[in-house]
Amino acid sequence: MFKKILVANRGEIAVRVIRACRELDIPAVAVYSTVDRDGVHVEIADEAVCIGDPPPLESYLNIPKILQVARDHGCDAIHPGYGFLAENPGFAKACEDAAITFIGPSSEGIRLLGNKVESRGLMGAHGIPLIPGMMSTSADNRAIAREADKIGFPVLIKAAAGGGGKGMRVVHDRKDLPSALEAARRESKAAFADDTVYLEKYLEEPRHVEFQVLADLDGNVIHLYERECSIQRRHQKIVEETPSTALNDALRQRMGETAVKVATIAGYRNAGTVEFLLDEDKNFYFLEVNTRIQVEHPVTESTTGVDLVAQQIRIAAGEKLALRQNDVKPRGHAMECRIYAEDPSQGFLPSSGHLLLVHEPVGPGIRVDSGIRTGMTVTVHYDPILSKLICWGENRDAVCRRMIEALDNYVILGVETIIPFLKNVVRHEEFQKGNTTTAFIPKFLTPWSPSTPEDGELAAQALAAVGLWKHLQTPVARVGTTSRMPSPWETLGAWQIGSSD
Amino acid sequence: MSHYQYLKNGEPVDVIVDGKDGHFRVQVGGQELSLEAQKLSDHLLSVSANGKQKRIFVAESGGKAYVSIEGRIFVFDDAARASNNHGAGRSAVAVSGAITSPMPGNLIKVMVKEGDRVSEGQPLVIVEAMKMENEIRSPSEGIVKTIRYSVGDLVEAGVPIVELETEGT
Repeated sequence: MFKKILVANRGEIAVRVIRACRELDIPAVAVYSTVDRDGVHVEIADEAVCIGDPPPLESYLNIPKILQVARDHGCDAIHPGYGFLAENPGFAKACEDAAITFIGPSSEGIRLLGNKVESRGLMGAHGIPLIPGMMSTSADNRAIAREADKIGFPVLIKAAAGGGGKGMRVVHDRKDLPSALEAARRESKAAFADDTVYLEKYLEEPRHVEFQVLADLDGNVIHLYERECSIQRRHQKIVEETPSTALNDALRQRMGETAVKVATIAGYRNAGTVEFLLDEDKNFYFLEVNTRIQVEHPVTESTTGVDLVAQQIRIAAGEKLALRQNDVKPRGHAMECRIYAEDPSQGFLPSSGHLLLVHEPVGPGIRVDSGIRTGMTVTVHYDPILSKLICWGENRDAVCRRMIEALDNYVILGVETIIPFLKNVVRHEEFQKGNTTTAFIPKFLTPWSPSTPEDGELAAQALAAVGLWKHLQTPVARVGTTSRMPSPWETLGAWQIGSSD
Repeated sequence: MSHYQYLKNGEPVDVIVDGKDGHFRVQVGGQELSLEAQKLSDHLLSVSANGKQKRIFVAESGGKAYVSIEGRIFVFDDAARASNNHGAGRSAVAVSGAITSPMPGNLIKVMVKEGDRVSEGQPLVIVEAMKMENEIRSPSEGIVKTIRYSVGDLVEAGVPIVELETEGT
């Protein structure tokens, strides 16, 4: 097993990985940028090293610096989390060259599957079903426009190096193509240091269903069933669950077998996610393989009981998979809500600021993976994910009830969050019926405003509470620094020494 | 007795609190509430009205009060602080056709020059925050008068980036 692991990330996922390291008795080294000195990952790590200024390229994407810290601190492995360097083959290669284990697939595996165009070609050649679209990238806007006409609008621009919705744009009209291409390239460049893009046919109301896989270094591959991640805004998932309401056992088995086949074709190692789109007629298409731990991995952990991050570390250290396919028996239902610092009434604009209060829900079947605490500042520099709320229950109905209650008890004051929006999602009749597609938010919750009829009454009670809170605070303040005991010299009034009057 | 004033939907509302030992009369606007209240921790109150109990979280910063009640969040501006800020804010937006960013971020692209004629909906600048790009478009037809920032600058929410001269001005 590893002697020491460097966690090359920040926020909730760095916290998650550090916890797994500690449970395996492996010391963890956190790295942080100058604005993250008070980060939770810095607080809980065994060692923490500042690696540079806030812009990601100077800190969390700074490969030479991170490797240097790993060497200086005696780390023999690096866990990249998700985002940042997680799917950067250059980083995995640099780790391999430095004889530091990259906890994930090989650099070649990341390169192959990270290139969405190349992996489409490989999977297509092995008979895995694909979404219609370009089989190569192009830097020539006119050539792309011709391809778009051939595919037929609407088309989806995707970053060849893409993931997490970055560098992705839907284009409904030919005239919007050039500016959308430019924006997608710039976003992709910023997020992945690669600006090549390609087009796929944009399927209007698909479901997004992905399968978790684990593969050891000997090439044993199992899947840990699906996650449905159809509830998305800006092509980014905000609610994920397992099992999917769209699959029956036969389809689930076919898709699971296909996922294992995809991982096998690619010679994949470690934890990965095979993503599919599922259309209305229950046809599924291979989308891509995410060669990292996913944001939504806790839902799979909740139903299967498998600690995926610990599995990643064990596999990277050369341990054989102790689990066989038949050992994986999901139980009950699990759902995750991502808590983003965004204003849902302003089109999900990122919201930054000071966290005046963070109060997390607790209770049976409730898990909070969090990277925040009261007093911390949410900056503009990074992805606005603050934490994730995961609920497990005996069935989907129980999970929805538990989630609504938990969201009601999740209090974050100081920055806008999408918590009120998430409640509207989970409470929605169509969601509760299981009618979840990627069109759910545009169709049912756009535009969105937080108002409800009882607002007037509740606002009055809220104002009363502010008054009460301040009123009750006053005597406490008197004990503090604001009103010290006055010195007699201050209360004497006017006086003079030696005056005879 | 304590007296506070907050803005609710832009209108000042008086909040008057009187009482002790857990029993309070609170006036909100014209409405009078009889409440039992206890402070459980720095930001947590337990408040009962007519026997029904609620858990309410309150925090305050920068002239704003934040309340979480029944899973809903309300933010109220302190009326005194807001009237001061309002004066300052007004002079900033009094410039005709000031284009502002809705959130703080990095100015990563300026697509117009001073003196350019722009049409309604034309993209002017791109502000990036938290790795997402946000295109800021012209709200009307006009001529670009001033561009106050350049690429690479950090811009604050609500502060003019571009000033437009519109037909009416």
